[in-house]
Amino acid sequence: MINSARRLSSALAFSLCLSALPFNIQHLSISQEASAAPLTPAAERSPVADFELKDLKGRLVRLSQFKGKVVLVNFWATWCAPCKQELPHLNRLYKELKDDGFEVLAISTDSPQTISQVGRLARRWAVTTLLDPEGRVVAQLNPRGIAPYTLLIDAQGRAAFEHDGYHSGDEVKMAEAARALIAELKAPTPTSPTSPTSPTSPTSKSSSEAQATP
Amino acid sequence: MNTSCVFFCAERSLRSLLSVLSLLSVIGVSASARLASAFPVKPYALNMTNSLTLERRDDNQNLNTTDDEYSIGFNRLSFNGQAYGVQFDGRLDSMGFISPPLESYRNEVVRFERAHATYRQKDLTLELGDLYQQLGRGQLLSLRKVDELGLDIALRGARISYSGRHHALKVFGGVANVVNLDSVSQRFVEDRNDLITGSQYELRTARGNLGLMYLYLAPEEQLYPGLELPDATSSGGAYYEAPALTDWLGAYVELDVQQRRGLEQVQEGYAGYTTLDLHHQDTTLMFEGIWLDNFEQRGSQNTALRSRFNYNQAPTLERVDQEVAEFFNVRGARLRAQEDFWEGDLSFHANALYKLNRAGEPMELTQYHAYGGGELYYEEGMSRLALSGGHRFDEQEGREVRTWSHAEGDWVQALSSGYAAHLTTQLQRIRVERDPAFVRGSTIVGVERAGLGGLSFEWGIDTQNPNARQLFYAGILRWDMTSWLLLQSVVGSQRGGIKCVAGVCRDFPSFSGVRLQLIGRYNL
Repeated sequence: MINSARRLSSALAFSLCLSALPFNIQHLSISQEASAAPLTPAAERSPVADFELKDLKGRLVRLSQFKGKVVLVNFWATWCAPCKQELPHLNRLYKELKDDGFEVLAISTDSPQTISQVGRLARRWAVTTLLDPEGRVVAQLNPRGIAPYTLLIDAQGRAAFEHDGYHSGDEVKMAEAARALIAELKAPTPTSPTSPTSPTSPTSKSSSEAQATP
Repeated sequence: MNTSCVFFCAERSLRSLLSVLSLLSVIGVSASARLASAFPVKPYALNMTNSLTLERRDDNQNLNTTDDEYSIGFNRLSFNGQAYGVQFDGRLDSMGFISPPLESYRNEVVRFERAHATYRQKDLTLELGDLYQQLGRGQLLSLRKVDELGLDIALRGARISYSGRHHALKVFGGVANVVNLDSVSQRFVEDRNDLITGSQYELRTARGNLGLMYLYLAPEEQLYPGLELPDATSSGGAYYEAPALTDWLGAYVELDVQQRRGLEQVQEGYAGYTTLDLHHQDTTLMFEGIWLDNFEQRGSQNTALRSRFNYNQAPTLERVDQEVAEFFNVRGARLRAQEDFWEGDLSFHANALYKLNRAGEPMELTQYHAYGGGELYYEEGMSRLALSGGHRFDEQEGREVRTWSHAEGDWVQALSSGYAAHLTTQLQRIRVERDPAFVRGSTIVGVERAGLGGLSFEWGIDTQNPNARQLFYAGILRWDMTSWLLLQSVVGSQRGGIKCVAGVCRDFPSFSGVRLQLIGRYNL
């Protein structure tokens, strides 16, 4: 009993240290409060690793194809009710902002059990739908494997905003964050890309142009 | 040297090689992380997500005293990042108990559950560590990450892949790596070092992709150890995938063959799976068919739950929340029709399933399932109403052995100032043989606010066992404290049994007590 309690205390102490770590990064919370949009400050953003997935037509799409664009990556599944409510909003946002250098990658995490259902839903939307049946990109970018999960990537290929789940009205915050990143994209910026995989030159390719064709 | 020695020795060497490679990958990942933190500029990234769960469990009244009256702390630290062109990700789990009722509730201060590193050079990718790999639609191999419970099976080994414009090839090998700290049963699951190797080639054309697959599986645990020829399974298959064959038709066809050696006897199995997706304007018609002839799901024993886990999983044609007990010698088909209105804001669907299990055997089981429903999005998508329901029955030897009626509803009504009311309900009425019918289900009603979280009340019912608890009540809080810190808590009781979370169905123990979860995300 005493031994168990000691082990548990050690495990909990370790865990609490890990969970409390964000509190120690004080500059993060201060700069977040200072920011008008809920974005990670540019200097603190981490580069997002490149990935490659197939789209609904079986063509390969790489994140790095969208160099110089603001990219919203959304993880969803056909069985996920909040996802199906959120995606039409993201679709509308994409239609509104696509000419300003905005792209939406809707990554379906459906298993073989439900992957055949993806097409009938995704055909309604203009956003690029990708398939990740093995969860490779989920492991990279969404380690808790939750749906929906949204990640906004700035034009330098760095993670600027993350959001778990969806409640009615969350799309307002996402739209605000997307617009703030587009504003950054349009404004002259002194920062230069740092990641080996981060994009460098702004382009204005449309989604279909940017996709590779076999 | 006889043939069995050649086989065994080669296999043993491969196991050793893969273990060394895995170890190197873990060391490599750690080294990358250390180097990254020492580097002054930022050619690296390290992102972490930590999920700490604290639970106090009291008597859940499920007639089992071995899962009551204890406290647990469970921590999961996931990390991913990159350094010097190498991407890496991994997971550290910890689990500790106070007053565990059984020794199998094992304290583990830290366990390295996942470690994975990727190096990409143009079209070539090399990966080491814990890999996820699926072949085709999972009939040969389905090791997937996507599991909200974090209980997936990975392949600890190596994979090399080439992905070009017209050709793709991948070769992989390793040993199965289960998650040892099972957060659902809260038990320790022993490793199963089953050897899995395979390859896949894909020819990519404008008219679709043609793939060839091979898989070899050798279980660590032999049915009868010491036989000259060990138990093993070799499988091969081919698929043709044309999601946009024409403007109105998508198709997928897969054919597989499986050769199993057990007790030095060889058996063969065959499998086929197809989907056809026809669509015209607002109408969609989808057909799915499966045929399994002596084709088995191969896996190993979950030591904590005394049940099996499988390395391959063919599509079952079932709804995602439908548990599947029988899946052998199957002939089945499903048809789904959907009609959309108002650009998809209103849609109706109808589905029909017919499936034959253990076809041609004395215990042949025929299953029929009809279900349908509708979805409506209104107030510019801020509100949503979805209703569905159906009925299924299983027949054996001309009599109904199980009937199952179900109804589901999900209603989100946007209120003012970013608030929304949310009602979710699902109810099943099941009757097995001539036993009295039982009901199980749950209803959650709550209020949510965008950017802040939600407060809900859950009511559950399960009348299967009249001596166990039948009604469950819980309060659920989710608070988005900041954009990087989230608090979730449950107080009360929740029903157990088979539940399907994120498309994965498994047995949950019923819960009674208090659960607190703190999720933090941070980047370095």
